[in-house]
Amino acid sequence: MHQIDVGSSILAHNDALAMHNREHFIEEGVYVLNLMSGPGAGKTTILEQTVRALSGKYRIAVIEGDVQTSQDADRVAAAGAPVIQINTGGACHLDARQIHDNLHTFALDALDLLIIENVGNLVCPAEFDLGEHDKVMVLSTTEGADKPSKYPVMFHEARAMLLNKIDLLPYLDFDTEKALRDARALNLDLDIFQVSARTGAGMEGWYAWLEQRIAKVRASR
Amino acid sequence: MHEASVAKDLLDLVLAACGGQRILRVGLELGELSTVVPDALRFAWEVVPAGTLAEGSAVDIARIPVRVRCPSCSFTGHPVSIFEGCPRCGTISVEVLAGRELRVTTIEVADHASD
Repeated sequence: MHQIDVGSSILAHNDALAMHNREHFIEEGVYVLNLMSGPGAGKTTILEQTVRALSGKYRIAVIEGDVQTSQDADRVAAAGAPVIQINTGGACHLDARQIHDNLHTFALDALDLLIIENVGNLVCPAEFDLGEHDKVMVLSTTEGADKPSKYPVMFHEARAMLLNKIDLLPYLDFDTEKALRDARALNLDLDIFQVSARTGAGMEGWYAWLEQRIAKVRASR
Repeated sequence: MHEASVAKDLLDLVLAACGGQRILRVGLELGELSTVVPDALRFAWEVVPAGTLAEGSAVDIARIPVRVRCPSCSFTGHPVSIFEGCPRCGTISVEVLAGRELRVTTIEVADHASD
């Protein structure tokens, strides 16, 4: 019996594929976002509104990750963006391989913004790099303010966070200060937007942030 | 919930590293902040390597505690909780230095098929 030093991340293979995806995205000058949240936080509604607000100005496409069904993809397509549906068939997250296999479905160089909507889950998606420029978290007021502290890794990895469903705050006990404080404790650079995708409140700030990120990636093409 | 896919990636890695020898033991480092649950990974490891050189191998999991660095006072060490911020000066946001690990460190392999 003898010992062999391996010294490798278990996710090295996923990370290598993600790096390959990232090189493509940088080369083609398309800004790529990995949108993550628990189920029902409002990712798809945010996507629909974002596509409607920005598709006059930018070329947008969407990759939808779901365990089953194409319901979300249908909604996003109706909002006016080309969309690919990936059904994970039970898996709780998207991985870099699935994105890699779908990379050439879109003409990447003809896109400004590619949004990947991950499977609704507050645990698993955080471990799997897809090659995106930024991870963005959605937390909704109906989930409770304890979620950043219960699911720290997701919030630690995010570049921005949308606190969604603020129109419901008058009816809830949601402690906004605690939620934002815990999210910031995990993440020095987190940009936070308090929005209601349903009413449109606060969405302008989110769009402006997106436009800045798109411009930055374009400029470095 | 993703321990089975982590186990599959782990299997690919150790099979590539074992030099065609039977794998007896796999050593892992798992950070306290990793989302992988040790028991779920051990359970997945009872199933995923079936029919390969790693079938029946043991998994040793070393937990790596969270270590942070404070950007204000440069404190480096273990926080009471990552939500309490810097234990020295109270700064809320600290940089995570360790605790996210999900690594294979070593494997033990049999010298002969009969080992």
